[in-house]
Amino acid sequence: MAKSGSKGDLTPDLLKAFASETLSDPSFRIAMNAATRSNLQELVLNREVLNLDAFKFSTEVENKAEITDQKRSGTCWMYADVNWLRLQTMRAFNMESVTFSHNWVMFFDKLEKANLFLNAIIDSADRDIEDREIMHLLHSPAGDGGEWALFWNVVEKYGLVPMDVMPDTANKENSRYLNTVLFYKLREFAAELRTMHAKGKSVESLVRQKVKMMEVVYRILAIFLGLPPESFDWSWRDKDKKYHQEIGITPRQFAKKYIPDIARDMVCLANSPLKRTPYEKVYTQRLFNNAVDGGIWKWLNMPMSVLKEYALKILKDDNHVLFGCDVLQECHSKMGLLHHDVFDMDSFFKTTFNGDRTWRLDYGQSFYTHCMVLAGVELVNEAPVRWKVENSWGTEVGQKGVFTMSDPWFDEHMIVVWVPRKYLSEEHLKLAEQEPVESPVWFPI
Amino acid sequence: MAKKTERSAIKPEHIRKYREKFLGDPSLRIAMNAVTRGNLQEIALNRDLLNRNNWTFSHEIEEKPEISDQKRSGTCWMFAELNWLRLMTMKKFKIEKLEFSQNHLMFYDKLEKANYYLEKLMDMADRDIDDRHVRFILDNPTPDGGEWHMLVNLIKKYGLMPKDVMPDTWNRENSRFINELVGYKIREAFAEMQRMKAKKAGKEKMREYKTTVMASIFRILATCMGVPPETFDWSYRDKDKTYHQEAEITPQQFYEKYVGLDLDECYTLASCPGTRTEFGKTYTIELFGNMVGGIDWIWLNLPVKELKKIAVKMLKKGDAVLYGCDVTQESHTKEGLMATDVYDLEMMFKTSFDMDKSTRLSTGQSRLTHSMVLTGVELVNNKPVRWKVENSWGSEVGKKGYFVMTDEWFDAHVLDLIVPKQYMPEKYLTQCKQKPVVLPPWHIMA
Repeated sequence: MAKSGSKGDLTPDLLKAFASETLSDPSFRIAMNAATRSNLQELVLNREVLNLDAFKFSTEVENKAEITDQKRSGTCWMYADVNWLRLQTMRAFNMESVTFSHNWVMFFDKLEKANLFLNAIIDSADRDIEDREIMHLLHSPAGDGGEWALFWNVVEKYGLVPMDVMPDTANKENSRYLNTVLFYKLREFAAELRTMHAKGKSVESLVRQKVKMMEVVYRILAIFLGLPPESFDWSWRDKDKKYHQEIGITPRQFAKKYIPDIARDMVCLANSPLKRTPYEKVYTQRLFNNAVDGGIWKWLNMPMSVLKEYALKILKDDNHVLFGCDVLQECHSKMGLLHHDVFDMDSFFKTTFNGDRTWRLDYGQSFYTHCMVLAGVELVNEAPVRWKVENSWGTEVGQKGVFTMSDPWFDEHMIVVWVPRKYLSEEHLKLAEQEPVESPVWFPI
Repeated sequence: MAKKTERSAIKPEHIRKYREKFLGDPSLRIAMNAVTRGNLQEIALNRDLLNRNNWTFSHEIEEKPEISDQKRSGTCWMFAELNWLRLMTMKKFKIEKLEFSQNHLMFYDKLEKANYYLEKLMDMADRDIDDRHVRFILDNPTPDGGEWHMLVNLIKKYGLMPKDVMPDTWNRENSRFINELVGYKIREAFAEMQRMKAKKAGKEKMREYKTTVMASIFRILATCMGVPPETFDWSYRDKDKTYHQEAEITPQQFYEKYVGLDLDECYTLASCPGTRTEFGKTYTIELFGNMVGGIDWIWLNLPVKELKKIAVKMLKKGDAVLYGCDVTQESHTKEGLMATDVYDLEMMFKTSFDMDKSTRLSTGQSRLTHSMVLTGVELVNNKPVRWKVENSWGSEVGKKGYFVMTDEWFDAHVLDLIVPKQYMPEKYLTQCKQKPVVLPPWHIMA
């Protein structure tokens, strides 16, 4: 084979060698003709995976509520959290269906994230603006991403409301403009706070200024998402057609009454096989939060088999499992397939795509991107072979919004599973109570 | 800790006060009702501006090519640069319709970038995986983005060809899959290089391995974008209907004959105010290249009014101007407007949106995001008031693909111009010879 030039440059000889090797393979021409004309995801879709009867499950959690649609916002976690929580409420109150307001959660999540951001800017005011952490913060000062812990912070501090009393707005569905305006002001405020610090102003005066700035944040959020109600009237009919009515209830009272205990004590188990994160320890990610006076997102790192055991245990107890994964890997949205063999890339390109999980997470190939709910499992001889997934991408994808996940996909791309305390073993509960180790803001999980 | 939380938390009395003030202002309710139902860009669009906006220009270049369309790829730089070069060809050869092949150059850009980053990663193989430079490359190992120097590198090595002989492919229009596949191979290769390095493998051995990786990447790119021809036949009819024919011409010969611009004699003048980037000095950005052995991007930093003087001079002579800016700021795509008062946000949100350029750049609010071509200017008393812009977003936006940019927008959001030698004042030519200050890869001009 020809070699690179002395500096490692691509010489004409080397390029010729590449070209002749490629062109001499007849399968290359077939692949090229197809790939230059259409969508690769369709071309490499593994026909044998389509032939599998993959949407049947031996264990299924009954749920009549409709599949939701997050549209163009990065708030999958809110949707998954609401999807999980509503089933708990429906069951406890014998309801046919209910859903909670994403818009409400988004309002207070963004409000609290903005406050967290400005506090972080005050705390780091003497560091260089090109500092890695500060640049990370400035890049997305109150982004869409989150986790159950953040959802719960909002519920604990502000309560919750049904979708009917604060329905979705144009901007909940497309967070782009909201973020454009909000980020502008937050970056401007960051510059202002840093200038005040440089001029020798005290932390107290910076904090006073921050409280004023937060009024602007509140106003922007109210204009984009609507003003959250302080109290509301709400009524519903149960499965037996009996009518129930709430008059002048506050969001906190609503949360207290309608959220069952199971949701109040959730433990996050994650699987991070990286060297930097040994198992059986608890971790948290710096500044990945919303309310500074709320809880933090902590996860107990355990082998994948433990996450799976709990997922099975919860499903067998006829309940949904809230989980997070990297949905960008080996996923065909239209067909609703999360399958380890969904794309036949190796034969198409005559090269391997078989990196392992540790490599993917360590080298930036994979990270935590999406939350969903497990709603069933297919067991063969008591062992899971595939899992039923309720997604929040509307009913046009998958089978009416339902996805199927192969068991090897679970092993490869699952990242966290939230387990209500009552399911956890003594041993794991004890492990989960350790002081968390803090990871940097750019950690992949 | 408790004290800190006490100081930093949002308290119920804050929320109560914010809420009361919001309810006390009726104009905020109007804004809320409108914004919660629709698209902010439409709701806040400044009606006055639409009324007084004008599409005539006192100086305009004559060539009016069909507008190109970069579609779902971040290769604006390549489109703008090729659009700029084609205007020269159209003028010189009296051609009415012409486009150069972006697919050809994008193929080699991706190939060369992969090699460039693999070489860089090879040198970093003993660094921690969390190292900021390593992470910077691994987060996006096949960026679509680029600048003038990258085109210079590509044309010098691979020439240029008309779009007729290498038209667009599905993957040129949607760069997502190419980037995923090539990115995968680069990340995989870095892990292997780290293992090799730990076993004390020499550079020779690592480079041999890199060559095998490049062979797979070549195959991926060739599958997705086709293999560029080494020679081609091409013909065209000029404005006077005379037929011209080229047989078996190489891409290098094609560039020499049909464009011929001396690529080594074009300079980048930038305007990036900030504490770190002084005027009158030259700068370059680490890891912002596309070719091993290629040139780096060196720019002379100047006040924006200096850039403007040169742009006016070029347009007055009938030459178009290639420039870079932050198009995400204060622009309305559908109407093709770039104006600092395009949105009435102040009134709507009752707060200012008036950070100065240097603050916008240092806080990451603004960065170099787009390249386009200036093809006209309206001068009033010899002063520019608005500029005509040829964009690469197809002919469905703006006025058949053209945009209008106000002079205030030029001041606020234009970041650089590419200037051929004949338009460079002596003083700047001398200043361009300074040794450039190296800025980190995450600088906003990259």
